Amino acid sequence: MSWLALRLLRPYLITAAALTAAATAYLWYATSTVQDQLDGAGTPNCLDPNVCYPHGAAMDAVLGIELIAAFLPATLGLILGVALFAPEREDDTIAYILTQSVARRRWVLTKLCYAVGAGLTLSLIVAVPFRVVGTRYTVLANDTYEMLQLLHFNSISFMAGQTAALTALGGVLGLAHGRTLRTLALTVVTGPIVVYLGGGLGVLLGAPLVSLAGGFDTTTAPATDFSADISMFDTIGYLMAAGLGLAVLAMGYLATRIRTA
Amino acid sequence: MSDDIPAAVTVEGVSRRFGTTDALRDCTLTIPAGAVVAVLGRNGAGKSTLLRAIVGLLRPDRGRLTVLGQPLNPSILPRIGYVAQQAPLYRNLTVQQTLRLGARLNPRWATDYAEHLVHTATLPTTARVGSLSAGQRTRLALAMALGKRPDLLILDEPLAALDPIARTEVIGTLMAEVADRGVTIVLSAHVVADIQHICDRVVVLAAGGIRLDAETDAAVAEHRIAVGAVRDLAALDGLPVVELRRDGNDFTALVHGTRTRDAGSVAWHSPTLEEVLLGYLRTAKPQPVEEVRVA
Repeated sequence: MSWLALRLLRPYLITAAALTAAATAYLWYATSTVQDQLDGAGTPNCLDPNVCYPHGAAMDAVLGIELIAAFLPATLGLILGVALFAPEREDDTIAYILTQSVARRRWVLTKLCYAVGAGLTLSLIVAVPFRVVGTRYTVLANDTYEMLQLLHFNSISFMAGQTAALTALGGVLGLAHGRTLRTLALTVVTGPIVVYLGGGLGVLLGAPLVSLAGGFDTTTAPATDFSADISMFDTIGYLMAAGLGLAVLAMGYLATRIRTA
Repeated sequence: MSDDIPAAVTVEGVSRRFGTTDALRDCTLTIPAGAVVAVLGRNGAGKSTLLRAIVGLLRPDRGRLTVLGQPLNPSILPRIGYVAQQAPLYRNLTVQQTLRLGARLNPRWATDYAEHLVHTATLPTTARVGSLSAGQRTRLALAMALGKRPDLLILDEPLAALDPIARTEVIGTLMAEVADRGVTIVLSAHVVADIQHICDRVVVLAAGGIRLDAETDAAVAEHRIAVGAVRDLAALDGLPVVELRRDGNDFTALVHGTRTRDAGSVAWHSPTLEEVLLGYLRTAKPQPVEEVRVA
């Protein structure tokens, strides 16, 4: 069964992996572009936009990094989630698999787990270098791209959570509707709602615990050092990721309850 | 159905609605074990919905289904073979991979038999399923269903895509399954001629309801056809008229029951199975007596 699940996902996994590889390569290219500009200005370790605000190609590179961090996790979720069950329902091959000697629950959960697992892995492949290397440069243009920052919070866990949630959402919608384009449209429309509702729920549930443990942020950044901006949303990112994890579990349960027509 | 023959499938008061359309309306029927049952109906009559409900692909809104003596549950799936309409199979897999998939997914899988069926159908094992013709895909889907060695075989219009030779071969294979293993077969069809010589029970669906559920011999024996002049339509008064057709000054009526009434030009005769089934297929519900009288 695992073989079939992976075989059916293969073209979409290849697409998502290629996108991830391209995005990761671009991250390295973009960071080196900004670093070259910093080196040229004689401020190689600068973290203060008042001193070394990027311009020209470096500014474009920062925008590229922000766009990747903001939209790639969701795109990976869309690719894997929409492809999970919608095509199978559209061409009715789901009627074949669900009448073999395999419990519906097992088939649905197997595919969902592989897709979510693959999505998490690919998302982490981008999110980790972004956080470890890229955010050091995006902090230089935080004022310009702060709206984009709200889509990823510089948080590895939130970015990975987005991919997982959209993968599960696409799977559930595909299982329920069975039309690939309609599933894509519905996932695009409802995805942000699910991500921010699920994430918000995580914050609401987790905030009291965080407060008990000592508050959200006890550090105060020096006035001339913007490095604290990088980790400013970390706690919120963890809580939102936890909320998205719960949403994925809920959607997994829902997926096992949906009866295909 | 004789009382000592166990039921392979019982459908009790099953209804299913899609939006505002009643796909199935309060359907009740019993399919005896070892029978070959044809489910007939026009497009949208509810045949596929009924078959999908029997194999558990959709859950009825109301009613109860028992399959092979149990309420529907995953443990009976190894005993059910199903071929959906247009025989959907994974297009990217080769025939050989599809056969291996059957072996992976089914504990009772008969590799030799499935390969024999594929060989008989002269399917190229290295070809992708997507490159096969509709008829070849149907043959492969049948091989996949029969490879499970099922006790109950549900086939949704299995003969539609087959050429005459393939049709004969498939019917032969299915009949061998019945004779050798006592498999119960439920198949849907549009074409009466396809099934009239192979099934021993017929179910006619119309607008989601069961119009006829009878053994083939009984279906023929329990109907009469009346032919006569329209002016003698009174001969049908009080009789359960299934279908009434007028052609100029003449009429032809399919009447349920063996009771006949002579009147003027009206002649009665026994119908063929095809005439009975076409009569039911052409009418979604019994002809109102008023209409007969007015005419």
